Amino acid sequence: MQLNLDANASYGLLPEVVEFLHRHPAGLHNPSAVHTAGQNARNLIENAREELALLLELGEDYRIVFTSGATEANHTALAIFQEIVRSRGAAEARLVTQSTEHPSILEAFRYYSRTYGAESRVVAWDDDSDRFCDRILSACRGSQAVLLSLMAVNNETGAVLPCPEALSRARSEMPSTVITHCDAVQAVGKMVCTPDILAADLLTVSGHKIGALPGVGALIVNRRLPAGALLRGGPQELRYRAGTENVTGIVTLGIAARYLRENLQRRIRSMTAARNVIMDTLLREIPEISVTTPPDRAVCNTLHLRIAGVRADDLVVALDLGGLCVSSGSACASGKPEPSHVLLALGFTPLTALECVRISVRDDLSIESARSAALQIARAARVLHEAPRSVTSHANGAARL
Amino acid sequence: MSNGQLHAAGGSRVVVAMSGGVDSSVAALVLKQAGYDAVGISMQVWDYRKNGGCASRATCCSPDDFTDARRVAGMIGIPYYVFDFEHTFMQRVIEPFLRTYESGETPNPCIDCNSKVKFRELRDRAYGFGCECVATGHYARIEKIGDRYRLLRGSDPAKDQSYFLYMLSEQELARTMFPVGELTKDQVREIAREAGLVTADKEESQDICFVSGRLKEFIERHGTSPRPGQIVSRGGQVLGSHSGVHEYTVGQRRGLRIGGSDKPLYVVELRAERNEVVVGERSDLENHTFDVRDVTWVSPDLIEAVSERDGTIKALAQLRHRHRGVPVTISLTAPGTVRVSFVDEWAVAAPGQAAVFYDLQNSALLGGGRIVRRSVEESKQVQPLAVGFE
Repeated sequence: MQLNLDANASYGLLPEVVEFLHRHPAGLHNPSAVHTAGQNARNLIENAREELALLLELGEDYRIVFTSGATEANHTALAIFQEIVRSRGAAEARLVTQSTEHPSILEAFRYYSRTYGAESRVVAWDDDSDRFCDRILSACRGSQAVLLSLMAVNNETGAVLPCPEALSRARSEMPSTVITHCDAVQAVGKMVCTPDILAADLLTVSGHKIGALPGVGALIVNRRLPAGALLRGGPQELRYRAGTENVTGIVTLGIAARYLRENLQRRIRSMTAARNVIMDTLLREIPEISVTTPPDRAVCNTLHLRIAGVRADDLVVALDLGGLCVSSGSACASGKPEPSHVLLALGFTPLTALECVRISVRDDLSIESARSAALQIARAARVLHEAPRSVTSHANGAARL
Repeated sequence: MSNGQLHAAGGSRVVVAMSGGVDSSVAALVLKQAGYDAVGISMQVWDYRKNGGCASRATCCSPDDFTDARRVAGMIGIPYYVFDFEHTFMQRVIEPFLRTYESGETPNPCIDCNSKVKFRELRDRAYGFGCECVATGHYARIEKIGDRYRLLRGSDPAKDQSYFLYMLSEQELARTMFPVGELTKDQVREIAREAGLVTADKEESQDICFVSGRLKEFIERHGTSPRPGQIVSRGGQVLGSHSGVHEYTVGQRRGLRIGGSDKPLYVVELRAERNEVVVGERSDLENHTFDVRDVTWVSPDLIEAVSERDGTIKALAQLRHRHRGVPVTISLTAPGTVRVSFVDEWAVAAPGQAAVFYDLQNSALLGGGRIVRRSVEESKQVQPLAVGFE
């Protein structure tokens, strides 16, 4: 059994979710069907919607659109914005975001700007949050229609972004032009996180990051916005998203939402404590460690650090063989570790970026397990640091062909 | 069935290099079944999207092959990872490969890949995870006698790959396993089929994994631009033209596109510095001796054991992959350099290719090196040396 210290990648199913899946081994019927089985499925979906609304403290101003996940939710936000631009007859439109955003925003913005001619502006990351907000605001000025998208918490470094300030300032200064979107995937359940507090017209939630099944997410939409859809061909989800609903996934999202609402303060305390124990233990054991985001600026469950002289991918493998899941933060499904765009945006070099690991904990990690996991990480790092090495094949000598 | 190739300590953690082909899949399976803590690793050495080359099924190390390797590892129940070796591969395999061609020699990149990437870099990295031993799907055998190790040809003569492994020292052999070395290809496929491995009926990989299509195009894409030049006779008479010496190999007959000779013409020398391809008759290829540089031996005392009283070694020399090997006498001329004399029949010794020496039973590998470039005239004049080993 692996210990999941990579909860930001996927939290794993909550026991309550597992229990539900056991109770419904045959699955659920089509919620659009007229018969009782269909109606039962419909009711389960609406219960889930209510749970999510309670968690996010949604008033009458917001509706929930269930999607296949956060990536689709982010794209749906763009589809809605497109509809706004069209319905207003705006001559030009602008997409504004910042450099450490998730690729599902950065690449979608690039694609939309290439395909539909909207101007895309990516504001460089700034550690000084006042200056960062100022830059974001000035990137929004002077356009008839702006979609401003900011993540609440960075998925790799755990940094909490100044969303409430930036989004509310943009909203109040440019009420008729700016639409605000917040990708809250890594914030939900780890901090108080509502569209009101974040000043978001649109807000993205992911299911499997909070203990529900993968393959489900939601976009929270302010009701004053027109409907825009990626998928057409049915009346489901108020025409924001055609297609038979992922009933099982949606129900698990509701279960997770309820769990988070009922346990929010407790889990923030326990994740903070476990994360800090890991950090303190590692700092004591390995002097070469540097922490990327200071704990008072990071979300409660995430620790991002660099161990100089230890290749992160090797550490991930060594720990995996020892029963611990952590992440090197590099996208290396193909085996070729590319330094993360987030870390490069923060000023890491390609070489140092490949020495960074992310540890992200669940709320059921005990202090004792946290301490012993940290000791195990320190041991593995020491072994790798001392291991013989012919030549380092880091990205400092990228292929020259 | 007992497998004499599994010499590492029982239950120890072993890295198995998985290419996504059937041989390394079965190597992994054999290790797992024998109770080793096997860890599958694929080496990302070449960016097929960026650099071109084969993304086809008929090769290894493409993304499709990683998918196959990962599925096999999952079926067998061993952990599996992909490691990035692109930079190392570029430095130690591709660049020397291109330089060798440009200098008018014929390189053998598989040997560099084995000795400088698989059995060095991979072993070093694996050491950090507690793996002492690296296993691959090569058809070669390691014989352990007491605490001594010998490299033997694979049991399947049609598949033997020991030629590509001549640079492994005895110390390295002690930390290497070839789990399919005692099997034939048919047996390997049969084992894979019985276990239901997805790679059971996969095609063979090509000779040079990073080159798809024509070698000439690969070199022109990645090396210096081709320099056209002349094809000349031994006497200096211009017989035709060529578009780059890298397109030719000593001993080559086909594709010269020159006529006017009664007898078939062969490439007998590549004069890279003058950008000339020298052609001649078959008899011009004939030589009594050739020199080999960068020679390594599996172990010094093995050489001592097979040396004659005068210090020379009688051996069989294999001069390219699939060459059957001919009897030779080897004399040391300088440290790391030997002169090789044919005993009763000669063979083409293409500069840059590996000359690999086996014992007279054609079983145990003694060592090998790279064939030195020499002009036709030199090879006609030089007589065997009487100098022996000290």
